[in-house]
Amino acid sequence: MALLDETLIETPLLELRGVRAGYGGVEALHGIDLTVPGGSMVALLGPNGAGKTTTLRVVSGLVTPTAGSVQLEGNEVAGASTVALARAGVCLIPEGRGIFPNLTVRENLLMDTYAAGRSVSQVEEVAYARFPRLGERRGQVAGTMSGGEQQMLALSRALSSDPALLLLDELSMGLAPLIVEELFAVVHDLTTTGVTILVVEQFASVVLDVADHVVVMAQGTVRLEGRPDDVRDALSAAYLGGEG
Amino acid sequence: MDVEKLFVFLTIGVSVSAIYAVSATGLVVTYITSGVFNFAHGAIGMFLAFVYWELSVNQGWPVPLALAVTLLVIAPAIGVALDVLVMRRLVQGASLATKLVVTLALLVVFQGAVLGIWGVELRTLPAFLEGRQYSLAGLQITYHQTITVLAALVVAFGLRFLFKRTRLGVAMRAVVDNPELCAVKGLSPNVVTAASWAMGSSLAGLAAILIAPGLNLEVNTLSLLVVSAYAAAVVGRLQSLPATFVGALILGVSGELVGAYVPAGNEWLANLRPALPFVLLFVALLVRSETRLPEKLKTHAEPAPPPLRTGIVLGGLAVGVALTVSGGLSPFQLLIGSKGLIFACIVLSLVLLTGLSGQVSLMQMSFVGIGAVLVGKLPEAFPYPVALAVAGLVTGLVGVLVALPAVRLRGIYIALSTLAFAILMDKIVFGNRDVLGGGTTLAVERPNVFGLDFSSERALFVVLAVVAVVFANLFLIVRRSRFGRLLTAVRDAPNACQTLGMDVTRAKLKVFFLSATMAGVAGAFFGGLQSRVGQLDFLYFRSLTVLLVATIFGITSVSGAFLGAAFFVVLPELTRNADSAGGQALQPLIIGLLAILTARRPEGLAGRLRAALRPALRRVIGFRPVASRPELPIELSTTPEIDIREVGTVGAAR
Ligand SMILES: Nc1ncnc2c1ncn2[C@@H]1O[C@H](COP(=O)(O)OP(=O)(O)OP(=O)(O)O)[C@@H](O)[C@H]1O
Ligand SMILES: [Mg+2]
Repeated sequence: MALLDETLIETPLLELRGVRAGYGGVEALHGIDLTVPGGSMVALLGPNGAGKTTTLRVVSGLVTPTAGSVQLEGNEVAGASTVALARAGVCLIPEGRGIFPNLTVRENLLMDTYAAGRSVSQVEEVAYARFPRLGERRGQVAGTMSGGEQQMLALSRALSSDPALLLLDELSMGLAPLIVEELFAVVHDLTTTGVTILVVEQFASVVLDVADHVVVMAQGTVRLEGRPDDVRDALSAAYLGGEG
Repeated sequence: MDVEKLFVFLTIGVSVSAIYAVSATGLVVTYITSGVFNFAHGAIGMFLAFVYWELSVNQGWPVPLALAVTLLVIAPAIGVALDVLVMRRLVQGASLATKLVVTLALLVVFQGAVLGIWGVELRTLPAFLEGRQYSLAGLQITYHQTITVLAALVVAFGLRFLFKRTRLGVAMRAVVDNPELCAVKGLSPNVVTAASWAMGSSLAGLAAILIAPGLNLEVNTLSLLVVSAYAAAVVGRLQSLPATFVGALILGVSGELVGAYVPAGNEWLANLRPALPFVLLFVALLVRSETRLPEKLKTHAEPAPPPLRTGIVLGGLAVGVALTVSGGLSPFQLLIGSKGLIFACIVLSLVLLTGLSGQVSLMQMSFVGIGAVLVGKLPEAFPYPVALAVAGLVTGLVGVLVALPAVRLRGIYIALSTLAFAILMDKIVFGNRDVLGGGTTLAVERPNVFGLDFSSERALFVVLAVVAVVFANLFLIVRRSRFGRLLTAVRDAPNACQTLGMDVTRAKLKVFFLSATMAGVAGAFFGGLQSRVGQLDFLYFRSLTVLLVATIFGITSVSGAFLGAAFFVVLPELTRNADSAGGQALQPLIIGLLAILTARRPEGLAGRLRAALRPALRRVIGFRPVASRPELPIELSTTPEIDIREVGTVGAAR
């Protein structure tokens, strides 16, 4: 009985089993197994083209898997629509800048109200409190802001929408270390409030210190996984062994 | 100068501008949110004007109620239905030609629907507060004009408010920026585009209802008004609403001023006024420049061209069959056969232009008309072959002239430019009494070469069989050539071609010349076959029909052209038994609906037929057609889109 209880408590928030997916008939994921326990932060690492983004796209419903199962809190969601998943609390901050470049900062935040179920003034309040620089630029067209400010704007959605699952795709891409630190401080705060996070990074150093669990992918498969300390040593080998 | 007269016409001009602006706004809103330029915009408005007439005049509903039901219930419902049933399927990866053909098919369907429901009798729609007017600073202004201008202002400020201040409006702009991110944020882009189609449809209806009282409530006039809206939208680069309003103002006011001050005595000048929107559309196309947007295109499959020898042998066989069979046919049967062959020639000119190079011409029948009229007008002294050559070359040059302003721009502008030119030709050339207009017809001689007379029905039939075979082989020769491969490349990846230093503009103009020449030559024979040609033979509308039929049967292949030709001569026979109005409605409805159903596959019904026949052929004679491109290990429908941006950078990096 004790065993059963334990599994019940630990029903993972997100579980992928044997997920295959691709683009136009060319498979990019060749059977991915991935478990993200509730309240934890899992880091997904790997070289270019490993399939990290594709994995996040599968979880957020942007890519439909051709095989395998995707379960969110025990419910099968493979094939569910992106919109439905977003409303159910899956919050993807996509690769590149997850903003609307021709909309102002304020209008971008207005778009966050669809999933959040909050008024725009509440969303603004939370965002400006955490990122005062956005508050100074609320009327500015988002595409004209600096990369760091754009990423703050993208990340704001995670602050106001109480996500069940936060998916971060290369938050640090092209940003100065100082900004990256600032952003990850926000992410860290989110973990303390109990948000479950799956974070994709190409460069391990950024996340190894904060993640609970690390998964390394290469060429569409999981190559290695474990606790950050265990993975750290094996990691360079995985990168070098990417071809074989 | 008579200042009072000037002001009178300015007043009218402003109210006309207001209507253009309302219509153009609807067009732009749907274009930017869905990427589909809706050629049916005017026809939707026309349909709604009829609905409004039905409710307010025929059923006697009070005006405000009829207006509200038409514009706030029926119009949005039509818009949403169109989005869900038709447009949404188009947005993912459809080629420009496909999108164009589908909205053109809708245009035809709406016209057919109006003819089917309301028939052809003339109706008038009363103005708002008919006959009431007030005077302002010595000017008599009607309430209808006032309401019109107010409506445009409400639309202008209403949209501004919508886009700046409401969540739906912001969402509409967000969808333009990045539809996928909208979905990621929990907002279905489909909901937003449906809303924009609903709005576009209401605006189309409002414009048509406002303008209808000045005209007759009639299918063609109302559908065509939208060309002024096109011109205004082009001024706004299909994206800026304020610039669109400015464009509408220029159009409306200049139209009235030309009407007021150009002497009515001269036939050519008198025809200028109705033609003005088209002239201005041209000017707008000429003066505007744009940075090319990356276009995502879909490649399509086409049968591999048979070797030259096969083409010639098959052609020779066909001519031989024509020669023998024709002996046993009645003159009427020969006439039908000849019509089919000419139509095949016309479609082949489109197969070359649209199928091979991806450009859309909405004026192919105007080229046919130019060819026919030239042969008819040239003095008797010219030997027939010379007349034929002149007809072909001059038509070819006209083709280049039409393509010239738009050829460097996005494909949509070529389509607009050819449509404008087709309507222009209708109005100032074919409708001109000096040429064809006013119910007169022009005699066109039949072929007569070096004393050999081919004017009997049978001789002409055989001559046409030869011409069709020559056209088919001409197309195949072009396709096999270097030039043909260049055209395919231009079609599938224009930006990459440009980056690689190919002269895209030149290639496009060349193929336009060739296609127009073919159509002009076909026109010369068309005239000869009918003996006399009239204005109605070359109506712009017929060009649309030709394009649609070509698409239904396959705009990429010779077999498609001949199948389409067969359909084109058979259809009128099929619908002959229906009563006149019903019959008139039936043809456009059949063609339009078929085109919507088949447009997604450019290889058309001919392509499916070939695919179905291939295994059987292989079994019987061991026939193995060579695939035109190496077999990809994936299904055709999932052929990856070429992302031009990527291809472009690869080219640039070299
Ligand atoms: N839209 C697409 N169309 C076709 N193939 C794609 C598409 N997106 C990704 N791929 C392919 O799928 C594979 C996995 O790509 P993915 O973007 O998931 O990798 P990634 O691990 O996120 O890489 P990076 O670190 O560079 O972002 C790659 O081979 C890529 O070329
Ligand atoms: Mg990635």
